[in-house]
Amino acid sequence: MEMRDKLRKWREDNHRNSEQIVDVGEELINEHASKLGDDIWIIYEQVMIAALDCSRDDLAWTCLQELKRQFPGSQRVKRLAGMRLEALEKYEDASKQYDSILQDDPTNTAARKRKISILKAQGKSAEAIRELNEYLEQFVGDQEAWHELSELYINEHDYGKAAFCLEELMMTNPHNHLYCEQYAEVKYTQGGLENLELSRKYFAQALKLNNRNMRALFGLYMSASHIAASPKVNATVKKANVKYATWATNQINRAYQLAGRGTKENKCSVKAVEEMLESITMS
Amino acid sequence: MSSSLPWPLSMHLLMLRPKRNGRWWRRSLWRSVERVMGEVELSCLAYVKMYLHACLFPRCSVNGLLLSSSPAGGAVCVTDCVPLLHTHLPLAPITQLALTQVDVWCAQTQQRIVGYYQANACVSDSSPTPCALKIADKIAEQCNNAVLLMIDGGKMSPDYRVPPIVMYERKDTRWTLKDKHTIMLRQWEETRDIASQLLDSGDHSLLVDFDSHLDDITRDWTNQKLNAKIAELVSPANALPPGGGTVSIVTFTWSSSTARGRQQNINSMSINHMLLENSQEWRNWLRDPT
Repeated sequence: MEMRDKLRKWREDNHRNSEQIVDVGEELINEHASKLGDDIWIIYEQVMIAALDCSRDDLAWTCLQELKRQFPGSQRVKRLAGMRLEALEKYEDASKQYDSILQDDPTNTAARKRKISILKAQGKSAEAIRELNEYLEQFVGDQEAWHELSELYINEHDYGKAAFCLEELMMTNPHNHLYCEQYAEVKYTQGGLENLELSRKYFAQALKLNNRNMRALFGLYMSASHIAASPKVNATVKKANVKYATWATNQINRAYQLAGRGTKENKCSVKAVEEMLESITMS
Repeated sequence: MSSSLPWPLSMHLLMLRPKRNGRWWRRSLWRSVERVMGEVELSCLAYVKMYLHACLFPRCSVNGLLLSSSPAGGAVCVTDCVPLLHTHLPLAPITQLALTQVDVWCAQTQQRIVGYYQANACVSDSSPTPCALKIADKIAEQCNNAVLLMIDGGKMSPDYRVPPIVMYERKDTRWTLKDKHTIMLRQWEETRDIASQLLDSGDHSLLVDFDSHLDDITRDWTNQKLNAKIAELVSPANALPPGGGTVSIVTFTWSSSTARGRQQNINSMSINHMLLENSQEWRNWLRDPT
């Protein structure tokens, strides 16, 4: 059944398209529950989380009741109950729920991460960062947590620490162009000649891994231009960076021309890019 | 121009406006207020697109630029907006890129960047973040009356009858809350209804912000299609008068559904014939005091 496959795909890819999940999942549960077999439980969980995301408390409650009935005393279901309390902004009660899970099972990572999410939802970023750091000391391999920590640091404008988190991620995922590109963006934001050079290198790396990453292409262009324009660099470095920037310009122009061939609505964007590239002169 | 006269003096004079459309307009000053420096008008198009941007990415902080097609000097008319980012707002490269591209596009289309808007992911906190202040500062360097607009996520539900926005202006290098009496939205109810209608019909997914454009460069961040859709829904009274207009506006405070604030009804006489209707009312809103 294709609805089931859709849900499985979204589950595996960790998509947060909650409105769609609720639409498909609700229909599946209401109409075809008998044909799902044991899959139904994991679908209940998926739909419940999506329902919380869309403020569908009614649907979330139904799913939770079914799961409670089938798996009484399960930690996983307890976590879902906690998430429902979070969605209702009953953070104290949710926290107590997670604490009780952790009492029974101190290594339960899900409950710990939910507690950190509560801090984030309440706007207590400093505490969330502290807790997440403690968590990562114990569970060094948790990619999701490293990424979340990098996001928290970026929002706090602590770019050095954000870069550190992204470095961890790049080490364990050397083929992921998005981590390279994000790292390069953080380095660019930090500023200073060294950081700009690093950012250019990592934008280039991201492009090597995925030559259609427009952010990386623009990033390469901008970092190379800034380095070339800097008074602190010698002539050879300047020349090299002008070369990189020119190459990037050509790639950008080509990409936009290929894109612009389709519709006339993005002629505005194409023209803007052309003018921008012309107007940013390089010394 | 009568706007250069001090208020008490002008109260005692009947001013004659120059010939317009073959008729002399007499404006009795006790019934109208001069256009004051520091007034900001937000068009339906700008509001609807900002609102849809925030709705399209409800779990992220979003930001964008406010544009004006009217000439500099006098009140600020925000006629359009460009949604920018929904990821990594504090990071520099894409923001710089977007600002440059929007700048170029504005030069091509006779518009200016006059402000910045942001909606925070955290619904309970609608105060400007450091990166919002930084970008707004940058805009203020080029535009004297630049405004910083924060969307208050907590007030975006249909139950709320006031626009869910908080506006700041720059006074002595600091961003301070704007006097609510100087903020105007024409035909607020119609604007609000258009926003809800587009949200319900799913048309908000037509909105393209700069981030989405970078994910797929065939998508148009100037949102011509969505602009056209909104324009279809807007009544002539809600549209901007040609050339921004030197419209004489009277503002009156509007009580919210919980009866906060005063209500005064003042009929205004509008010079601009497009908007001239006997029952024409101009409204601004109360910033929620809580």
